[in-house]
Amino acid sequence: MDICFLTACELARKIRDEKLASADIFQSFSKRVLEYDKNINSFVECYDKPIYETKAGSSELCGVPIAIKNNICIEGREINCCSNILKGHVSAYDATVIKKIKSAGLNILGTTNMDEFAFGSSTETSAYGITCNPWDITRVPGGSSGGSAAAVAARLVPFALGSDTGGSIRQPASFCGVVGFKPSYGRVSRFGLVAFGSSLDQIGTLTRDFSDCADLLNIISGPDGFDATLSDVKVPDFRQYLRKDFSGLTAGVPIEFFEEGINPQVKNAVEEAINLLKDNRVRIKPISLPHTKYSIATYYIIASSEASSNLQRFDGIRYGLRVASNNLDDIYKKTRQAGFGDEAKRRIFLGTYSLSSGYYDAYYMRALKVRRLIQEDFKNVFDDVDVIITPTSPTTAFKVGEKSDPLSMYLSDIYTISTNLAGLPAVSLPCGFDDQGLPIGMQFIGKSFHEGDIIRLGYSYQNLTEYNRKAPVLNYE
Amino acid sequence: MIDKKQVEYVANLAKIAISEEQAQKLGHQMADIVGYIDKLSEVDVDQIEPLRAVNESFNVWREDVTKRIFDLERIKANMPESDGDSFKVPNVI
Repeated sequence: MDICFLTACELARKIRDEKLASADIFQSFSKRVLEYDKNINSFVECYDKPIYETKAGSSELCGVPIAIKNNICIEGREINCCSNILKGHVSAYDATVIKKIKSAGLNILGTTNMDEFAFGSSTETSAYGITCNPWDITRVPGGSSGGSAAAVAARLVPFALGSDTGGSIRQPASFCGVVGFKPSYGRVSRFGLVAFGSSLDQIGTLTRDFSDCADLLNIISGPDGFDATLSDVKVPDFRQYLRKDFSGLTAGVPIEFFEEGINPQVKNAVEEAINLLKDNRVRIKPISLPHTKYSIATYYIIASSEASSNLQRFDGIRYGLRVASNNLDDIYKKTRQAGFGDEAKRRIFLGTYSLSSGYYDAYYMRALKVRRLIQEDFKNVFDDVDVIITPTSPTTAFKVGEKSDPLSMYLSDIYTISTNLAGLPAVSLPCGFDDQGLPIGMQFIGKSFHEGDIIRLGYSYQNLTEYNRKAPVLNYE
Repeated sequence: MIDKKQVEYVANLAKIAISEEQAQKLGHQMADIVGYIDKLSEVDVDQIEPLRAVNESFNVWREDVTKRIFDLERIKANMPESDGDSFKVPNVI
């Protein structure tokens, strides 16, 4: 038995039954990272031993290792969002999700690579170099949580945390063949998550299956008094939705998501999955989300505006890089010039431009209004359906360097972005492979605070198929 | 079109120094992106209220009390330049 091929729940059971010791599990994964990650580069830092003591029996998942995206603060550890402007920055405190993970007895194995400040869809903009897709190392793992997705897919860690502002958990999950879950906006505290687009950001999970997903969501969800956007809607026990049961579910399929620009193999795989669900008595209904075509433009205005505001704090004064000068304005300008990469600068520019006097109404204000129309599209269809099924991405993993102009990269987020604009929960799960052997992902979108519906549908689908059980073969030499 | 002057104006607002070459490249890329996002102008938003928060139906209140949640030594360790418990900046007056 190879320890590293067990899921988090399987590992936890073996720990409870005293068949495996958590220290040995940690060492097995740590050794596997050492052996294989030189080709994948999914970890920024992998710890050689547990960084804190855990108490036996603190939760269902006690003793299992987990990886953390490098934008979530771990006290006493370097967290730098894979940006030169924060290199050497040691977190002064634990993010709420880290506190919860520690008290649940999980062991943090290390931090994972990402696009700088989560700006990107390919993990090519990291100051630590690109992460490669474990299914084909000439391809990207998706982004921005590409390190977390690649590590889980390559069995370098049982599961990981990521963050999702416009698809940054779901799109890499799709490219790497794992389950990527973005909870409803307001479900998981962002306290200690480095802010990108505050009205869109959500922490979520990358796992191999829905059992691990439900258990991890149970640990990280709920209010903490530090994130005022958190809802007091009761957090259910997500495990109750782990039952093979399609009864009473109606799924909407939006026509706009299957039109131009979609790779035919992706389209076929998702349509096949929909047919399988139909055969299992899920009611399928064609629906329309007419403002989908405006979602990317709306998103890039809002997300960049919020990013330009959030990133003002990186000014060389209180933490991070400082380029020395006798003039304060020069410190700001030179520090930010040297510290931010090209994509971060572009986002800051676009955001600053959209918010600047003379353009504010035409761009930012207009985008907020279109955002309402996009949210209303969803509200309208959710009168008739419980979940929405779409592809996660128009394509499978693209080649490293293939999308060199920024706009073509932005356009690859078309299917994931609108759920962030509307604050809805959504998950990407494996539903097939293309003729190159690359994973294909489909997305389930749920009503706000109804994560249970998409967990139930995902769990049931997963029990009918084998896609999520396949692992990439890591022989790159 | 986003000309050099506009790029320099935005660069100053964003407090990022840029070279001549970068200004030109950014100008082109911004023009592409702005050209694309301009498609929002075709949407009729006259009667539409801006959506500022997705969960508008609730507000979260708490007592206004101070809490010390950060360790000062850890904060100081991250300062690029410090003096005692303060971070240091050049003379501004």
